[in-house]
Amino acid sequence: MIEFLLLSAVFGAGTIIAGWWCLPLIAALWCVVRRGLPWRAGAAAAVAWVVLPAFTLQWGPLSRLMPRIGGVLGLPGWVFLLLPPVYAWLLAWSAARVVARAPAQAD
Amino acid sequence: MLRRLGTAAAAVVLVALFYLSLAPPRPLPPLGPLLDPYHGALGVARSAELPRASAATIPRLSHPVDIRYDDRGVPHIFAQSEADAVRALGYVVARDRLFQLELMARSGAGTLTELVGAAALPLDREIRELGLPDAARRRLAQLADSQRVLLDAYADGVNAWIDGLGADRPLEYLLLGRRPARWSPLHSLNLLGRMGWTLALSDLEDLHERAAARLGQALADALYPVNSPLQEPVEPNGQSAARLDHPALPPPPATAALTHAPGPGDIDPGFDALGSNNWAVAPRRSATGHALLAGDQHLELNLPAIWYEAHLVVADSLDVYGVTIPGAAGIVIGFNRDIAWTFTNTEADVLDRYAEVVDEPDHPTQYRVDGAWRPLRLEIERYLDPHGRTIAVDTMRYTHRGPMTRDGAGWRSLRWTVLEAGGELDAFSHAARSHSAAAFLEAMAGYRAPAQNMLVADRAGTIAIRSTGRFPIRPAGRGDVVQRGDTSGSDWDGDWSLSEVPQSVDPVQGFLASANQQPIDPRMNDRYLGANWLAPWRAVRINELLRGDSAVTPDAMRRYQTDPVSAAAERFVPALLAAGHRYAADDTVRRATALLGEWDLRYTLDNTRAVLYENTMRQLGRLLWDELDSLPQPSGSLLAALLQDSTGAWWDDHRTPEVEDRDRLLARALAAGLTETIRTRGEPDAGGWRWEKIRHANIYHLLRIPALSALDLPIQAGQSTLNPSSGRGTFGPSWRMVVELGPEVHGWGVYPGGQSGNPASSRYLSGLEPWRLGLLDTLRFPATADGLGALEGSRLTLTPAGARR
Repeated sequence: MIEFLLLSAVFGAGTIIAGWWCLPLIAALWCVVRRGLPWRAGAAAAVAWVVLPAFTLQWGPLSRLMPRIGGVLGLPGWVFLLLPPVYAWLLAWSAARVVARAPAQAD
Repeated sequence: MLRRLGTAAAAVVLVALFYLSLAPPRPLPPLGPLLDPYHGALGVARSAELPRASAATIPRLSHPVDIRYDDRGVPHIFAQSEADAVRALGYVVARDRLFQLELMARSGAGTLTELVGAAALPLDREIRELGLPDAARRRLAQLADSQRVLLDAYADGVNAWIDGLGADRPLEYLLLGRRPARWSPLHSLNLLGRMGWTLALSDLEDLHERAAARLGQALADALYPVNSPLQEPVEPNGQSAARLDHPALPPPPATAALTHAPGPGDIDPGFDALGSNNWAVAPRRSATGHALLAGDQHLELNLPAIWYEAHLVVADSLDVYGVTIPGAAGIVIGFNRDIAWTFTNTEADVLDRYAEVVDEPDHPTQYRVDGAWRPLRLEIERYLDPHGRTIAVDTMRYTHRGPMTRDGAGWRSLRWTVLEAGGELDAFSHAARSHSAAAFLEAMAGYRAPAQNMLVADRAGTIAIRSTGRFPIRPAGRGDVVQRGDTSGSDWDGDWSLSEVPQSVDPVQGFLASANQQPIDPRMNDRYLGANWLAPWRAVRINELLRGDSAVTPDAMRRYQTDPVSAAAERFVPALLAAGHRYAADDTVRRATALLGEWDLRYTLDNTRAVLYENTMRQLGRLLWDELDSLPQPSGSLLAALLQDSTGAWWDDHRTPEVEDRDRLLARALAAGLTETIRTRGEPDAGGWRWEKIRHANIYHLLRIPALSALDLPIQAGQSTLNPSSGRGTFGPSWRMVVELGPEVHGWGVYPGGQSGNPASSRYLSGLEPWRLGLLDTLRFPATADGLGALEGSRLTLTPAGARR
């Protein structure tokens, strides 16, 4: 559990420092070095991308932004809150899964 | 096997995600940067509100700058030098409006394709064919040191903000998958060119040429006249009411066969809402005994708005509050501790077209003047896409007059004051530091384009107006016809001198007003200044209101800005009713007459009769001007003049066997107007005729994204009212301001939008509702940095060196 939380923290810090593309790098690295399960990498990335805005955003601006950005994409505003963690999960999981070496690592 | 399939599936997902994240098919934005919860769209919410306190560094700043934002999000900039104040201005404008800065500069540079792709190629081509970017480049090379210093300083400020952004970007960049471009002084000059395009681009020659080809020269001259038949000029002419002249209108040619019957859909009187109002009242006609000034510029309405409020203070030299255009290195319209000023567009003709004789029909390299060949200046214009790939290449040709483009089988060059502008930056800088109306006019003497009716009032009680800019003198007398290019005798013969231009200082009538009308009564000065002027209905109404109020208050000035009465309706409705009564035997005419008779001539939100008048006038235009085919309808002031002639040949609708007179045609328009109104809006009192359901302001985001726009806003506005709105509702008052010049200067203002261009910000739409309701905010004008007191919302300190933000 601690490793999972640490991995989430690394994903969060990586996002702040480098942006979205650090997710597949961190996931792949963790999978190779720590022989972690790909789905756990995906879940940790998703958690990071849920927690990050929860810590950095205020409700006022978010409530104004959601319907507008949703409107831009032709989606309900709340969908835009779900998309980032789903995207993060897919990105981290797929990268980790591609580099996973031993059968035991596959989910 | 299963594992290999799983790995392959993961690889496919990974590749697909990278594809969607980096370079997805249009119109999808790159998903990675967009969904990033810190630097992406959600990150936009993080930077939406101003922090209580922040600090940043700007290169070349000479001293620290203290910036206090008030409760409306307006930055009050306290600096030690004008250059530092302008650096800070660039920084705070970029902080709130970075995407708008780049978009507007690119629209003036003809490089929108580099930001939004090939879809913008026609717009870019138009700008480059007009020679605007070329003129900006030449102007930059000739820029005076005093101007260059300010433009460099502004660029320092903008670029300091961009440098501090890191991976963050405004939402629009995320949607386009682009990064902000660095700012340069050339961008500011391109912006000035863009404003010239908005305010001073006319095509009178084309209109006149088409009219003459269809109707003959005499009729073209009469229908699109050099002088407005209705006179209420900017420079007071000593009359106590608007004067309607009765110009001779030759009959329509009997052979004017219609190839295309104009219908309601052909008529978009939207340009009526592209103009401005301003007026000033002398102390003896104001309730407080102080001079009052009001102004509202009618422009295309966008989100974010074209204006940005700011207050610049430099100890002992500058203390000015007002609005700037993102990209302009100073305050454009506003007030200081002694004066207030505002502009309306002159609508003067400052552009001429010349039919050139060239050496080769397709790829000319020379043109002939006075029997001798002169070389054309050739410039290669390259259009790039966002990835730097060339998508089109044009060869631009320039004569000594200006850019030359193909026109049908021939070539035409144009000469335009906007391409030869200069001195505006110094003029604005000096004007902001003026302490009297006279000093303001002196400071603005070097201003050339786009020409503006500059209205100023000061604390000593002086009010003054001057049509300021460069007004060329044509050897042929007029500029609304295509000139011969093969003779230098067609070239401009100097400009109007400052003493000749329309102007007035402290007039006997005690007030001054302008609303894009013909600036000077041709009986006072008949030198050509323009043609086919907008009908001066707004000017007529302003003058009516000011003549009838000898104790004007600031609040009355505010109410006048959204006055719902139409001076055009005041003139046309009695004629329609008289005609309706004459033909009351017809049931539809009788009903329409009764309904229109119930109208109070006001475009209030709950009004249920204005729509009938609007539709009736549209039908009248369709019936009356049937001979014009696809030509635009003549000005409403010509229609007012025509009403004096009850049996003239123009009243006959050529499409019917009978011969109509004025009243017959007006009655038919009434009946057609009622029929159209019932067809589109239902029965009169079923609710569909309420004005709030019909006339809306539509304020689009700069990228025309509906979700980021403010659409379908009911407004108390109508065609020809002081709060004009017509057609698509995309034009209207863009900055309403009222200033009282008492012992202390007090200002009120509002624009449709907010200081921030960030859609997540509480300051994105904060001015919209007061603007819609015709209310004004009190403008904070603190004398010291701590003067805001409890109204201070945020603080920003800029320093020349030290840790980065």
